[in-house]
Amino acid sequence: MTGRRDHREDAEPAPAPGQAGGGGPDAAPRSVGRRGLLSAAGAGILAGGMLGGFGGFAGGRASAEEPAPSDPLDRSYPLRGEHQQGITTPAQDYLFTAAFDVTTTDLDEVRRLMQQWLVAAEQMSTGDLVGGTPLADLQAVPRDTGEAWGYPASSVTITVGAGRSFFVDAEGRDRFGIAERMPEALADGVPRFAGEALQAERSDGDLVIQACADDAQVAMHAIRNLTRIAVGTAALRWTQMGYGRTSSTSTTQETPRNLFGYKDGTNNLKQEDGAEELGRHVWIDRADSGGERLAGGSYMMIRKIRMNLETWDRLRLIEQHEIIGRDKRFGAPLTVPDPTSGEDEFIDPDLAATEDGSPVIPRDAHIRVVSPHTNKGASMLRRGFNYTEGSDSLGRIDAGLFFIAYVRDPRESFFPILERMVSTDALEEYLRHVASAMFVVLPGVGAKDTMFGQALLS
Amino acid sequence: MTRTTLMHTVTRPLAIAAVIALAAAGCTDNPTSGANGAGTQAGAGPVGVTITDEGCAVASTQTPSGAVTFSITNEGTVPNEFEILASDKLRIVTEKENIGPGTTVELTTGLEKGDYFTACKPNMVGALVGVTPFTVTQGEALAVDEDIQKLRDEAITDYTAYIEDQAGQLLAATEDFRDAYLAGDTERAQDLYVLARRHFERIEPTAEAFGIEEPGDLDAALDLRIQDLSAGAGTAVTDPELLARWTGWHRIEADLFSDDEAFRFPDAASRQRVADQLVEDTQTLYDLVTGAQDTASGPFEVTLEDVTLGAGALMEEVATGKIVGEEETFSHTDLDDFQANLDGARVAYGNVQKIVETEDPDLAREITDSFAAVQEELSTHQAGEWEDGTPRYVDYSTIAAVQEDAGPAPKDSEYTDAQRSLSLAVTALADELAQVPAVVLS
Repeated sequence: MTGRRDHREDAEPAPAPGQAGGGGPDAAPRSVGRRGLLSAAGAGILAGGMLGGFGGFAGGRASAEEPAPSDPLDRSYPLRGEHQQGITTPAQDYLFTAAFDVTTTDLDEVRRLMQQWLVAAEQMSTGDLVGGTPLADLQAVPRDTGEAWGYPASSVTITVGAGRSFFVDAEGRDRFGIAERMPEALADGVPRFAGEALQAERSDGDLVIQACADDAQVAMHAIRNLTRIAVGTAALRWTQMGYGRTSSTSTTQETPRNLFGYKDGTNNLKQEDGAEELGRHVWIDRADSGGERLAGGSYMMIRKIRMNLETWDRLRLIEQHEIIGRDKRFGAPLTVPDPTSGEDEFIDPDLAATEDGSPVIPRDAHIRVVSPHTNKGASMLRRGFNYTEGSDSLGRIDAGLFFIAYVRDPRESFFPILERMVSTDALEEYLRHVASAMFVVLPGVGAKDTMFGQALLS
Repeated sequence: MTRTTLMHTVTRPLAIAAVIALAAAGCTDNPTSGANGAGTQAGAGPVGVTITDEGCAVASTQTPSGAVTFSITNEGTVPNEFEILASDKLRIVTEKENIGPGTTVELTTGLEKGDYFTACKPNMVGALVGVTPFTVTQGEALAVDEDIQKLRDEAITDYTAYIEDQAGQLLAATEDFRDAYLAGDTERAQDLYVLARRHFERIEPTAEAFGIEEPGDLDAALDLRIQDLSAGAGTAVTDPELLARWTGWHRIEADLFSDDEAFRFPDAASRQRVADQLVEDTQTLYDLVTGAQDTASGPFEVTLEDVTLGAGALMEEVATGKIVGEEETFSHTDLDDFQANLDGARVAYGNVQKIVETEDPDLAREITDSFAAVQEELSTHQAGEWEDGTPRYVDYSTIAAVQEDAGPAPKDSEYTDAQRSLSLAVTALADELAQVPAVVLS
């Protein structure tokens, strides 16, 4: 062995001075180093991978005797399971999503990418660095970029999907010889909607990775490293950072607020709704189009919606209430006459209620338009995040909602609801849809799988 | 400077060390044939490794030093990883990731005499499984690989000769350029601007390092862009005082190519002065390269590190400066520079290519393919040939969003598909070239 390799600081992933305490001013103290977390995890991760199919709290180092860590920064979720992480996983605080254009024409190279992504994603899911322990070769480019070195797993999840253009190009030509495996929903594409001002370069894509975490830097680290791995095979098409999750996917979470100041997504599907309900609305079934290779996956529907904050902020409170259909303070539906607590939020809106002959919740109120009651029971699992991208040239804040929904078939649920929304929702006057994308999220990674999308690409 | 110092302290002639580092430096897909042909003494036959979900059994816990091959069978139910750890159980000497259940793979690596550990890691995460001591005994004497050392020596000699040759051609072409320019033969001068600068662009990372008083001052005199000068001074790019301080290729480029009167030389004397100084500074560059004059840090000397990093550095030049069109903001001859950078990278890499082919044939193949891909991308913008038969390119502003006359830079959203295609090809190549130092220098 050579002398240079003996540098302990190169080999030992100890946190840099001053780093162990956390990456952000609002972060809780972090005493758990990555390696400590790992050794504690051990077999628990493996067991979690097989048992924790729903990616619940029971992942990572948690075991039957050991309750899930209460600090979300110490949580980790198993990558392997019946479904991918990051869908029913309790929504984290931060999002970093990236879409890629595949630049190779060789399916084997795509498979290799999916293998490399899987290895790296699994390592990062446990709070490890890409490539595990950093190699100490001073002449080599480090395999991991290092900005999450010493950070705990921070609930990071990595979710991979494929778009229509992964299967066929713009002219409909079979790109990799797997076009016949494309499910009908992707083949049909996304219809046009009123009020769209879509930017092509911020929309669509061949592949997508959604990274969520309770620490923005950990989410960034995931996307950055996966992007590096893809160089030469796939190139970034667009990215999106998000913060302040705008929905909750678990009953353990409070409903967050959107940038209009309202609690939105109260009626979201949640992991606690159970396999049957989620199977009906979220997961692709074996019997569905493409289901033989995609069962257990889902459709990831993305709409980037710019919100006209300044215009909204000039509305009287009563107007804001009537547009949303809820009270701003507690999130209670307007049919609750005098809301006094957060509990009121979960009272079912009485859409039939009238006062002086007019509906209490106006006909064009947001919650009425998107309610399952007015959409033949159609439901989606929402997982949106707020975004802010500086200001525009008119001095307005460039911000809004990066809306993500997971559905079993967008033609049954997402498109009809969106159509109703853009045509009848009073809220639309304050929104502009600036980007759109649809991906089929690949099924969960099986215990024996060596790549994302094993069934699709084998 | 620091990097050079580092290089001197860590150079090790043992090919075996390069083999170890090579195997360890692989990404998620470690080369399994790293030691093949490296001239190391072959060890005993393959060491069998049987992986189960709970175990990691190595058939033999001892082997002679040299190239050691492990034949690893995963009998477990999940993908697994096999690692060889140093005696501290922390440092990974080499590893093979993502071994699928039911598969057998081989891992070949160079191991010196010493104490190691073998271990597995199911799903490539979490705690190590089946950590077992593994001893490498003294095998037959490890011959220092004379071939590899010879290749390294040749790489330095050849690259040094190349730099001298290009500097010589640069000097001659610059004199021709000055003459045509001062004679008022604009069209010829515009052509010679490109033809002479090619020689500079081919050895740019080396030329950039030069200085007589301090490293880089010669590069500033020869190749400074007005955008950088104005940013430093906090004035407009057309500020007359600023322009009076500006020398080198780009000062003349502005005079020769821009339609903006502000960039004209105020008089014939200042034109003459800058043109003469360009030749004089180029002469100095030539003298430094050929050893007629010492640099700020002593006599000019090419290290293996220079050769190894040169190729990557040239492609980074393209990725950061040429793609966005800021280098040739008046002439828009960026694609010709691009070709010259690519040529230079090909030569620099070519000098260590045999080492890479020996130590990491997969990487060598990828790099060759990527060089071809960049050239192919560039060729789509060819517009005829120069008199020497080399490709001549279209005005970059016709296919790209560029900075015009050192004015506002294009917005991030304005770059064209052509720029994106070029950028992707260059990035892929640069990414692969970044792996070369670990193969050649470790």
